[in-house]
Amino acid sequence: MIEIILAGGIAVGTVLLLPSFGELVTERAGITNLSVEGSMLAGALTAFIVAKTTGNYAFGFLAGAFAGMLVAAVFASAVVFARANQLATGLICWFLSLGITSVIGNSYNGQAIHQLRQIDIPGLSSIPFFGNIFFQHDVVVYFGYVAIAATAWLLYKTKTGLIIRGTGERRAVVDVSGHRSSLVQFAAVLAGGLLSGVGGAYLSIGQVGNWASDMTNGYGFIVVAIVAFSGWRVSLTALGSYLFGMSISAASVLQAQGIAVNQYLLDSLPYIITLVALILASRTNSRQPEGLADSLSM
Amino acid sequence: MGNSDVPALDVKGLSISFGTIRANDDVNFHVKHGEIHALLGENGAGKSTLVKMLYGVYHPDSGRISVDGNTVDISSPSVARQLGIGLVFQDMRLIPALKVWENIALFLPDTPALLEKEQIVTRISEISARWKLEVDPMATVDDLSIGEWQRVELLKVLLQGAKILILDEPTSVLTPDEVESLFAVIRRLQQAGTAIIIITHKMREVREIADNVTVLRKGKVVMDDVPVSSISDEELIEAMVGHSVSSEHRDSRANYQARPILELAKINVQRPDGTIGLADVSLRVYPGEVLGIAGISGNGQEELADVLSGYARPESGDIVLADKGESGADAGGFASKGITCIPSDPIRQMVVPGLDIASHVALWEHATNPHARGYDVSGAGKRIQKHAAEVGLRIPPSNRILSQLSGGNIQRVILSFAIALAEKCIIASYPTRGLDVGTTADTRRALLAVRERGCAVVLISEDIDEILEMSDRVIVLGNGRIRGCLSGSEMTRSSIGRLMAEEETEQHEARAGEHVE
Repeated sequence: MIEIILAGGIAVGTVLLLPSFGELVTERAGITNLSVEGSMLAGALTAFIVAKTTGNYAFGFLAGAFAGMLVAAVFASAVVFARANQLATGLICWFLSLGITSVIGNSYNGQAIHQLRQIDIPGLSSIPFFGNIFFQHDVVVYFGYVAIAATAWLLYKTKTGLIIRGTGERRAVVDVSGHRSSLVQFAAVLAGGLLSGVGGAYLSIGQVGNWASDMTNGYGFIVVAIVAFSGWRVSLTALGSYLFGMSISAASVLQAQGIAVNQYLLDSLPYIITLVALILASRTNSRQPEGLADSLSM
Repeated sequence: MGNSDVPALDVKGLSISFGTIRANDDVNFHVKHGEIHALLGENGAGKSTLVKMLYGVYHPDSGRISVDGNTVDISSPSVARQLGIGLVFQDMRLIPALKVWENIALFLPDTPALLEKEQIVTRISEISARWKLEVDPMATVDDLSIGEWQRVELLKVLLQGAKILILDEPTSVLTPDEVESLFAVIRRLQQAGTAIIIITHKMREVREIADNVTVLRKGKVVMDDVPVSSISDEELIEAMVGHSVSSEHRDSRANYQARPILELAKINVQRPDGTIGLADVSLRVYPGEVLGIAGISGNGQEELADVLSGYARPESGDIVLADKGESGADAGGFASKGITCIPSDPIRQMVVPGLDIASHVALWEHATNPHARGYDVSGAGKRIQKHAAEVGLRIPPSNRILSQLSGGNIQRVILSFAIALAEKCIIASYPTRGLDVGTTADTRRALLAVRERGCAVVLISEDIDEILEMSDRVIVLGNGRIRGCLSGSEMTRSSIGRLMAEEETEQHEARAGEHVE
């Protein structure tokens, strides 16, 4: 049972992991994007429609990524170039996406699509215990692994990452060093929207195989919390996402086993577990990027 | 290093105006390779403007800049850097959360897309060893001392290969030891042929480090490329502060026979960062007098204003008020005892955006009156108009939103209130800074008017002309200490200027309170 819970957790966690890394990069550049949920919804619906009509999942994911980025582009134009209030703009973008996806997606409610094919990684998948948990998944879960490494590499090993981190701290210093901090922020928000879109797409066509209005269920907000409580660190952001996935997976396995626990308690468990774990983990040495205070209009 | 006969940097007829203010007017000077050139001048003399033109931040209205004999157009800081001009800013521009090597990598244009940490660290270590600028490239900037921050700034500039180095007030934040090691680095750079321009208002530093000096006053060069060895301190001060014209003295209302309104005895204040705010400051404020506090700001003025107006309690020393005896500080300061203050930045410290004048006055009244109950907004609106009329200040109607008024109008409202409440003394910190000519004149007139009722004025200002025009006595503050107290015919531009420029080692024994007795 443990293996089932953990393996399921990795898969569900991937739905949050991709948006989390998008938000991590966004916040490292000094912008708080509260419309992650909006980008995820847009990604989920668009991917579903495209995959359903074309029958091609790759097209579905591409379209989902694009839709997520589109929501982010609206957000970024307002907050980066017009310096609009980030909290308000983020919430508006989320509400807009919720409304639009509910209306457009209405006729797709209840339609089903088959889930993604599992690809076992040769060799690795036959490692006892770990093979089951980590290497018997669909392609998007593996993409998630790559995203973790790629984000860490981008932020800490490249000049681009250095500029992103500098922008999130003190934009003015980055500007006098001859870089364009507003372009950096714009690009970071777009990248975040792209990953959120993929995360949403993975939820609808990868995980559950259908579309339902407001199906992201607040995941986009949990993502913002995960990033903050991880102390803007790559490792803890990944850990938090998977932990949340595992709690959800555990709750549904327990339910399937017919263990009598209050339904609402079970549903709230993932949120509680993840937040407590992250708060404990991030007590040491976490430092908020200086520029974020600005983004929260404080 | 080029031909030593051709100046590394040559400035001819540089002028720039902001609105009606001519910040730089026909400025000429030149620096050779291997020369340390001081740009000396008071605050506001136009030094920073000149530096910003040399570094491409501002574009001059007219004039010509040449580097190694070639006329150049410095349209942006990156052009300046390409020309080998490096600037060490006064406010240092590093990101505290990043490591030293990351800050430098962020700044250097040739940093490769893939960070090669070892290579960058090696480059930093080489330059740092060569010029004896000790910094750990792996340290986080937040953990560095101010002296180390500055070394990182210098490293940044040297790593990009600067041949002309500009240092803007480099010693203002350093400890004496750090100043010594900075000067040692500057001398090593000089020997290697770097042209160095050091911006300062400290004469001692000009003497110690510079070969030649150019003095700016009110945007103009008043002393052009003079060897430091050929000129006396007096001549330099005279150039800096202008000719000592005896100011026509107004009739004084000061009553030095009366009991002092406010007396400070051996006041010591430590700043939160551990440095000295005020050291052994003793002074007396007498009824009806205007006591000028001169000196470069940041030398204890802020702390002195806080202690005088009762907002801060000193670490040691006594404050004696005429009527109530010794008194401690409370939230409203000494306002309830008739001592009010005009803060140095009233707009930030006293203005709530979105509230109208009447509400502000009601809030202030409430804060300064320990017996106040409730807020009488409409009454407050009427009272402030009456107060303003009494001192001859024109203020907008009381229902106007204060934060939407011009700086001058905001200042007049605050001034009216402070004056109305001041029965004994008014502490004015830089009351005319940033104001136009008309508001400045109004402010000075209103401040002088309070003397008629025996109220004293403590005028904290950087503007020597203002101090001379208004004050009965002048105290010069430097490094938190009283460097001297002048009154009557001793009060001249040059005597004040000399005390301002003096280092604390040659401290004057004169104490303000003792002086008049």
